[in-house]
Amino acid sequence: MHTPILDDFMFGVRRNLKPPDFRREECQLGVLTFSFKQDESDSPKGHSSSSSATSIIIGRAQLLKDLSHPNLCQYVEILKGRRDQIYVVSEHYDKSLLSEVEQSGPIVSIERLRRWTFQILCGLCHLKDHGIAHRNIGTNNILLDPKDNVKISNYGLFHMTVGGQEVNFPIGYPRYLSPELIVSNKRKRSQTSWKQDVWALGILLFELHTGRTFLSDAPTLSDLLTTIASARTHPETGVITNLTDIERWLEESSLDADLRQFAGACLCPDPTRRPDPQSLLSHSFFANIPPAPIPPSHQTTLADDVEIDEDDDGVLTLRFGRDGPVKRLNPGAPGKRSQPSDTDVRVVQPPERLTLREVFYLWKLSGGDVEVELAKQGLGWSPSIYRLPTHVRSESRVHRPAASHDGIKPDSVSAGSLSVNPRPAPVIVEERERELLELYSDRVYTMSLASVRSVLVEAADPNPSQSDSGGTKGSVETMPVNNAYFWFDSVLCPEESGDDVIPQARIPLATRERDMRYQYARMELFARMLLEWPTEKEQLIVEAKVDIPPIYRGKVWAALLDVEGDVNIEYLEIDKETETETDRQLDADIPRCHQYNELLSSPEGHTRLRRVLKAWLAAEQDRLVYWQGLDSLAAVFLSLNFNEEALAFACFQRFVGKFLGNFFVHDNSPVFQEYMCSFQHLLSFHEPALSAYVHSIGLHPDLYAIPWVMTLFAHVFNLEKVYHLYDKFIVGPPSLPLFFGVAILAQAKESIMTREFNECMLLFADLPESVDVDLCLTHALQMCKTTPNSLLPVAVSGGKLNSVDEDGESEGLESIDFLSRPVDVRKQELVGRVLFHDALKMLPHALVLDVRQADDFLSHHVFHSMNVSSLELDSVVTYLRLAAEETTYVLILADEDRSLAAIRLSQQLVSLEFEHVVLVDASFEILSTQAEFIGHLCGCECVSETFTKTTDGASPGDESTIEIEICHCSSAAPKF
Amino acid sequence: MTSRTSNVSSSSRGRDEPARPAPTSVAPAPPGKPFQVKLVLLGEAAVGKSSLVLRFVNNEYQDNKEPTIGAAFLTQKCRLDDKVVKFEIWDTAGQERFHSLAPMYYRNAQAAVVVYDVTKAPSLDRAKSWVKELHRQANPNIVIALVGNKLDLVVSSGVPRAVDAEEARVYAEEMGLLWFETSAKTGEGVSEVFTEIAKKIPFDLLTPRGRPNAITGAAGANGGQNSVAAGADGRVDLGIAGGAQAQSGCAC
Repeated sequence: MHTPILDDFMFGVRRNLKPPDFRREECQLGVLTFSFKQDESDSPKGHSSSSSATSIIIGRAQLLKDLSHPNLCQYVEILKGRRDQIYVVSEHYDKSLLSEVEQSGPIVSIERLRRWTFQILCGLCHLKDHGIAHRNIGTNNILLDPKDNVKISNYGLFHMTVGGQEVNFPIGYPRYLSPELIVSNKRKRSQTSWKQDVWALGILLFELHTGRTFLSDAPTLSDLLTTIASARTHPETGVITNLTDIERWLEESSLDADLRQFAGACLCPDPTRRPDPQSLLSHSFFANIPPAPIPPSHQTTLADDVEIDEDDDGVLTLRFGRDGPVKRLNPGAPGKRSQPSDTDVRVVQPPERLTLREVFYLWKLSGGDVEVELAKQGLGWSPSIYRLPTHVRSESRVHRPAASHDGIKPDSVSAGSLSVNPRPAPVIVEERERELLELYSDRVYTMSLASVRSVLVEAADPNPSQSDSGGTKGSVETMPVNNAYFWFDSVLCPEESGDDVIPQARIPLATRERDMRYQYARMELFARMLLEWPTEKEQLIVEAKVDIPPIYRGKVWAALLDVEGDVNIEYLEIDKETETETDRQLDADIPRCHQYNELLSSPEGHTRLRRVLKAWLAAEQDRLVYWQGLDSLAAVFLSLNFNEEALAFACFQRFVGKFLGNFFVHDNSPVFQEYMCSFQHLLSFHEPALSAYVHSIGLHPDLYAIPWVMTLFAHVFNLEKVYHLYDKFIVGPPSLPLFFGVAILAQAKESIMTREFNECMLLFADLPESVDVDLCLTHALQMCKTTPNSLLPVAVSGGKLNSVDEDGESEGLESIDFLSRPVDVRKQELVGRVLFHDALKMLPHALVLDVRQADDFLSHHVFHSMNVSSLELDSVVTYLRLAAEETTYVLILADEDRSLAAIRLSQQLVSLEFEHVVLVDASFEILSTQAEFIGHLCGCECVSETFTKTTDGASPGDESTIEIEICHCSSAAPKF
Repeated sequence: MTSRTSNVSSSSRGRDEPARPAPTSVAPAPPGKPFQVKLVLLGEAAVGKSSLVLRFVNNEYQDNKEPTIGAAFLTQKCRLDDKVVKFEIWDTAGQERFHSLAPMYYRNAQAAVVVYDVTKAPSLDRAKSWVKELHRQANPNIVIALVGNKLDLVVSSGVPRAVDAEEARVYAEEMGLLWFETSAKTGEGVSEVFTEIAKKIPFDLLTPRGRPNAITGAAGANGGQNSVAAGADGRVDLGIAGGAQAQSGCAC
């Protein structure tokens, strides 16, 4: 049984992530920034360039973004800035345990300590469940939300830097280091262990309860470290000895007995006897706290939102329903924005329902830039005089300035000092140390959400002020719609009828994607449709044809590709590990696949792409195999669903199935030949002059279109272009990619037709930059609608060849006639052939040229057809052109004797730039046996028109005149 | 290197020379008509075929160059004594599966560069099988160069060499091939490959084609059609043109 994905991981667009509490001014975005020293000799693990370290960090940091827990600050984004500076954006609060102690001194309330400790442990356990140790605990890294709940912050640094290996600054505050860590070697220090966090928690409790900084009297860092390292465990009781401060504290008679026992357990110097976070949760200290707290606010559903919205308080109501957005805004409300109050809470409802990541996305769309924001706050470009050492060591004493210019608390300086050997350091280390300090500081730069909020509230304003009208109102024309071809299966095109054109579609896509107001509305709409999927599938398709909000692209594609059920279970069951012959090829290709992309170039990205590809190969077993280029295709889906490999795999698998199923078989040359043949015929059909030209210079699609059709352009364009392309491919017919290829040629038509073969080939190498994807897509969709299915490869023609009997049409005729003609024969023909059922549909709209002998034509012919038995077209071309203008298509009919003449005529017409020329696949003899066809026949007397043609003789004055007779049907066509 | 040849558009090819536009457009008008030489690159995946061409044509190097699907086409002009040679280079996909497309590219080629990776022994085996196939199916007078690439890995990155230079050289000599070791990354030995190939092309028997009417390309394309679409006969004038081209290549 398939569970709808609605209820599990996938469409938890709003559920997975904890909605931030926007009601409180205290919730902010915090930015932590660091970089690493670009020093080859010192580079960790021998990386030759810092960028590889950056990519490692960014790759590993992706996991953090999906961690969600009430006691953890949500990670929002990890960005790479100039000079490989890394910016970590996360949820942030101004209050921390440090600020609490600084303000109010020792925390005497046992209840408060108990609750905090419990919440810290809950957070740490959640991290442990995901294989992450904090390793950076300190009173400044445990934040407090306005309800006095713990929000652990900065817990990802150790994880994302591979235990500190990828950066040249140490992680963790010296005074919280456990004894075993101080004496361990560097390699061991970078291993993930949760015992260190437990020790640090013990120290934290000491500091909170006493209000004192642990070992603040240590004269030097090495003294401090030596003191901690000298702690011993009592062999019988397991109690700490030889660390006076702690011992005294634990012996204080005023200390709560449970707290004493708890802290004593945390502060056991022997790591093997120290409990881990999970077991501490059931410690008697927490006897009165229920064991498994249900995370609040994780149950938010859209239904709740609607209720809240309909709680009409007259201030602001927002509802995006089926009948369109309902927005009401109290005119007085915007003025109140600056003063937070209960009424104000109502005003900020819309952003309240967004996740922090969504808010951040919108903030960026509205022009927000982390680097710019931080520069405003003094980061980065300060004159060098301000970058003088904040920490100078002379001999072995550390002088700490009270506070440095950029607000580094004296405490944080020690973060830079861990690499120092406990023994007095030689002078040369000082220089290094100072440099290391510049790589990292604890300072969290904050970005208030108030500004984002005000922009969003404004965005929800149904009556935008004039200033931003440019964003939503454009002057771009509607895409032209042609209804003349009503009867072809013009499926899946958003612009099907002129009346329904969605106004937004008139504005260029790039503008729409940059318009924060527009994106916000689209996000609302798509979030709702995803939640209600599959009920809303039809509407989802309609809206997706307009555009897909980039932030939801991965999920929307999954819905459109009908990804159902628990993809995680399916994915888990696939063997992705066993070595296969293909591995060598994968190892050669993956490190070369879309490497400009930060995620895909990271080691994490390589690992994941390899797994997705191996899973696909295993799932397809021996039916499909790996061809180079498949990596590029898989990368598209992985980059969109980086943290959800199973979803990436499921989308990739379905996409290949829909568009490329037959391309990855062992021997794909028959499929490939068929595509190339179709490509040529489509080009002749839509762009005859171009087709004739490329044919004449030998520029066959085999020479340039292999990566186009095999990777659906994933290997041709950069990912951004591919996303936009696939947005349309996914909601389009399977033949759309082929038409897109034709559209590319058409777009470059002028350049191609003025170039020789070599230059044309070189032109194709530059295509990725020059192609206008949007224009080509529009053109491709138009061509799609006017093309008979017969011209398409069977695999993408919508199965028409196999299902004609549904319409009661004869299938025997087509299957015998068409399929018996081998692809290499068809490929020699510049012009394509249509099958019987297409021919029948086309007859009323076509100029029918019959190349049979005149006598045969006179005896019976198709209504309104014309006998062109002569190939002296020059003199009649004007006449034919006029005739062709009246109709949509040019159909060429022949009997068996004259089939070659038909081919020659078709090629001539294409050379003469006649559009929409096709040959009828079946011979006249066969057609005449079909009842439907006989209805189209006429036996009239016909009329003739005579044209004269002057041919040049061998010498001047030697011209001769030839008379050419064109015979055509004189009857009016009957109504069909 | 005492070659008398030089690259028309880049006489000095320093390692740090910035990228320049496609030479075909900026090259000073060469004296006389260029001789067109169709050259094909063959070899296992990821041995550096595309990088080698990129170094030769644009004097660039790109880490993690993306794999070639199907084939890529580039051109480069060289001066050899009083002649100008225009290489029309077909850089093919390395994956074994694309093998069936290869004849389309090597048919009628006057030169072939068969590349292996000096740090990967199996890549030489693959190169040897390409040589065998060329001897059997390509133009009998085709000039073949065997090239061991990624020399920089051995020289400066400490990667162990997996293909003995002497072994490869002896093999090349036995088979009548040119042999080089190169580094597309540093540029070492790359221009020599093409220079030496140019020297061995029997130009006396080729007529320079001042009107490069893509006959070579057409022949390639047509050849491809024949190879992949068995039984196809040359149609219209292309087949004839292709045949003529093939003859001029074979006649020497």
